[in-house]
This record gives sequence, structure tokens and C-alpha cells, in this order.
Amino acid sequence: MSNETVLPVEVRDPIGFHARPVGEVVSQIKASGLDVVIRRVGEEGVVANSPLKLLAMKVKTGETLEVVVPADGAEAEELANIIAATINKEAP
Amino acid sequence: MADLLQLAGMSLDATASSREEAVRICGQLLLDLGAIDQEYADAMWEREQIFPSEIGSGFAIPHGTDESRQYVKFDQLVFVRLAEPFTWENEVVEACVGIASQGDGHVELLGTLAELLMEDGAREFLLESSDAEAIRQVLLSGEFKG
Repeated sequence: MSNETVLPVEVRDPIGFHARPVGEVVSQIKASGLDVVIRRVGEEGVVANSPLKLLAMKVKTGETLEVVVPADGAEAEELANIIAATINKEAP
Repeated sequence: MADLLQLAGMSLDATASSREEAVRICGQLLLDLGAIDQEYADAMWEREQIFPSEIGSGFAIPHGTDESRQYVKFDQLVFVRLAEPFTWENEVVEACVGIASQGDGHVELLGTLAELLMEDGAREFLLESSDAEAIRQVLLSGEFKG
């Protein structure tokens, strides 16, 4: 078993995964120093260290993403949870 | 329905020396196009101060607040290239795409912009071409033939 933490998150923001949450997610990931990947289920996804890469995914409301933290344990889970919450930060 | 980006909403050599000036130029273009009321233009600067809109690769995407969306009359983007790029908040910005949107109509085009900016040739074209119509077509179609 590889040591990674995968957390699925449904995008509930009415305008999808857009620029502001993308910017915050990138800041959080850069601060963590880890190569966190965000992907659609079954896809390779992107290392989420650049807003452009995430914006180019054009993620719409209702899609499910996976946040993949390349570590396991409580800290990795916490980071995944923080990122998932940020993705839906502006959701009603 | 008008295109999301019109020639009248493009400036290829805007003069701005601060974030506020650049954001206000975007707001004024949207006002001139009739896409927004003044309240939305003001909200673009409010939003900018709370959360700088730079997205990397020399671009920023000024836009209003959720509460100001009621002052958007129709979805519209403007393209403002700076004659003299300057440091926005953390990075040097060379061009802005100002956004007026009532919903998610702009998200697809922003995704397209992001894809284009990751291709070096397309990015250079957007920042250097003097052909506004060609830039407009590339942004609307997402297709760049280098």
C-alpha cells in the first residue's frame, strides 16, 4: 500500500471550482510543501501548485474530485480535509 | 447575444501604474459596454483589495463580489494589456481579463485562458500580438496555431 491519503470531494460551489477557491487551495498546498494532486476520479490529475493547472481543468458544479496527499497519518488527513473545505468554501 | 468578449472591450496598450488603476480600467470598459453598473466597477476594486486576482503567467482576473452580481446586466469579459507591466501583489502582471458575470458563464472561457497560458507560444501571442481581433478569436475558441 502506497502511503497516500485520498479524499473525494463533490464540488458544490454554484460556479464550479473557480479562481478564488483555486487560489486559496494553491496557497495551502504550497505552504504544505507537498506535491498534492487534484484529479477527477480515474484521471491522472495535476500537481496543484499552480492556479492555471487547476483552472484549466474547468471543473463544474456537481463533479467529484479527489484530493491526493502524498503521505498518510493524521496530518495528511487534516490537510486533505482543509483543501476539501476550501474547494467548497463559497458553496451555499 | 453579443460575444463574451468584444473588440470594444479590448485595450492592448493600457497605461496603469497601480493595481487600482488597472482594475478601474477594466471596470470602465465594462461600464462603457453597458455590461455593468458603477456599483459593480467599485466592487471589483473592493474584491481586489481583499483577494488579489493574479493567477500566474502574467495575468490577473479582476472581478466583483457576490453581492455586487446584481449590478451585472449581461456576462462580459474585457482584455486589458498593460503598456508597462508592474508587480501586482506577488507577481508581475502584464495583462488583465476583467470579468462581469451573473453566474458560471465565464468559467469555461477562463479555463480556456488557463490552458492557453500554459502553452508558451499562445501566451506570447496574447501578450505580444498587435492584432486585437486575432487575440479575441484565440480567447473565444481556445485554439492557437503557432
